[in-house]
Amino acid sequence: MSLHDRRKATTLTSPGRGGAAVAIDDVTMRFGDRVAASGIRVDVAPGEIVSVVGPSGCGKTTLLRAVAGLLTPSEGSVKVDGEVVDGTPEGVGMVFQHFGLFPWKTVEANVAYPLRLRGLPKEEIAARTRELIGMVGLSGFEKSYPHQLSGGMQQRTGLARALAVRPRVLLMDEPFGALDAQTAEVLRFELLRMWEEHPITMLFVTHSIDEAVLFGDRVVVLKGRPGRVHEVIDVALPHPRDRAVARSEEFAALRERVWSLVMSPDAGQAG
Amino acid sequence: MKRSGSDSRPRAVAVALAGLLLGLIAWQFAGQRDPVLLATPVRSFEALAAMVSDGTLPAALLDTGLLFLVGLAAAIVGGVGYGLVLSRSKVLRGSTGWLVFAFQSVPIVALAPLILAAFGFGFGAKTLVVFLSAVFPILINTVEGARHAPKTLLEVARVHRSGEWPLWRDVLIPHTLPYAMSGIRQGIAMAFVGTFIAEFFLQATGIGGLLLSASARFDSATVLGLTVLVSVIAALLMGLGRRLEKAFAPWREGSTE
Ligand SMILES: Nc1ncnc2c1ncn2[C@@H]1O[C@H](COP(=O)(O)OP(=O)(O)OP(=O)(O)O)[C@@H](O)[C@H]1O
Ligand SMILES: [Mg+2]
Repeated sequence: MSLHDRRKATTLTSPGRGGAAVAIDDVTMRFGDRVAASGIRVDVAPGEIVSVVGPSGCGKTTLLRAVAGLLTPSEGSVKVDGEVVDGTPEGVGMVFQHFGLFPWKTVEANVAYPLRLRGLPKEEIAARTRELIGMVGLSGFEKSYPHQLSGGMQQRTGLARALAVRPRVLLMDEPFGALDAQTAEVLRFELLRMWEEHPITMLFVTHSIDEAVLFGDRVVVLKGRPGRVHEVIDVALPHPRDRAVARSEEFAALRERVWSLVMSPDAGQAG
Repeated sequence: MKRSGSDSRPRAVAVALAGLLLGLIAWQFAGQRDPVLLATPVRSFEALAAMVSDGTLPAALLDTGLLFLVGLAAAIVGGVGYGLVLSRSKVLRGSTGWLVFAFQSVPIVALAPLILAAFGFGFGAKTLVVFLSAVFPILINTVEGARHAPKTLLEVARVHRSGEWPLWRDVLIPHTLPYAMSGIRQGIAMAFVGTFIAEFFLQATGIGGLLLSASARFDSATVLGLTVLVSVIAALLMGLGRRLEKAFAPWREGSTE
């Protein structure tokens, strides 16, 4: 398949992709007098991956927390599949930069946590947990506590937990930001492979421009403080997004484009 | 962590035993020089043996033990329970928090006569003294622990739409337990002291009662024998407390490495 063949890239909303639509509609986030994000408008189609990049403090995490229902927009609204978010909607999973694992729970218990909260039958929880742990490559570590695992293994656990609820939307806040470069690279391609098998909607906040282009069907570049949408770039790269894609000229060109937008003076921490 | 535990253990015990032996020898010599003020260990041991055979020591131990356990149990339940509630309720913290800190600094010895006047001389009044002695370190440690529950983990619970009870079960209680345990370890020591205060001031019963009457008789053999017994029990209790503290936080094992 040629990288110029963009047919696959245009199947954004094809029935093959699962997940929910996310509508961020003119959202402004305020903490007291401080405005953290202003007039953000992003529509994410079902099964689409939208990457969000921007300078530190421009409100990326805040925006993600609004989609997760952890914060209420001061203005505007967030909708998941047409319903206004008020508390975390069913089927929204989140992966945290620092993993957010319970140190007192084993890998198994951390992954089973969302299922236990749902009150599923014990056998079903056990079976599903085993499957998830296998999927992220942690079989054999079921009984380990987080402090006994490497960072990469901890984030695999975090990922398995987020996937436990069969999410329609996956929210990622710099999921690989706390990992060493090599581990992050391995996990990126594993996550992409998993996504190809079960394409769902993803909002992917990152500081890595490579990561943003590699994952995104579109890349939203925020700028300034408070953060506003500076530019939205279509990433018409083919799927699956594997190493070959990451080595392609198209990829390099897109990365340069995003890079220059992020680095442009009016995107920086002016003011 | 396992290796260092099993390696240093016997050595620590050996050092402790050697120290004990040296102390006993010194005590024996000192006692032989001034037999009236200071009984020898041999005579103290005989005095204890006599109290065991006539049943007074076992009965007194049971008495004291029961008072200690009931008072401590009440302090643990009350301290941990109220501590957890306090940490989740701004209203309660605002209205009773200052009271806790004010009360904590009042020496229980000073309160003992008051309690006596208010509640009489019975088991209830004595239990209250033990309870008051032990409850504050437990309460304060629990509140401190629970209030510093990591924000991310609370957020994780919210993202997973956890209810209030699962939030306690999965986050607040496991996070707070080690803090509560170190409070309980301090509480054990305080309850121990409180038990003797109760026995001395309120009604001479149990080991405290035996100690009082022996010292009134200038029976230094019994006094010293009981004192050593009490210290040994105290040391064992402290060891137990430390064990408990570790046993309740298996996820912390090796977290310092
Ligand atoms: N709970 C809060 N209370 C007050 N201000 C906050 C709060 N959370 C975030 N802010 C402010 O909102 C702005 C955006 O923060 P946010 O964490 O969303 O930035 P970010 O884009 O995620 O940054 P980074 O790339 O460093 O993670 C910052 O100025 C921050 O100080
Ligand atoms: Mg952030």
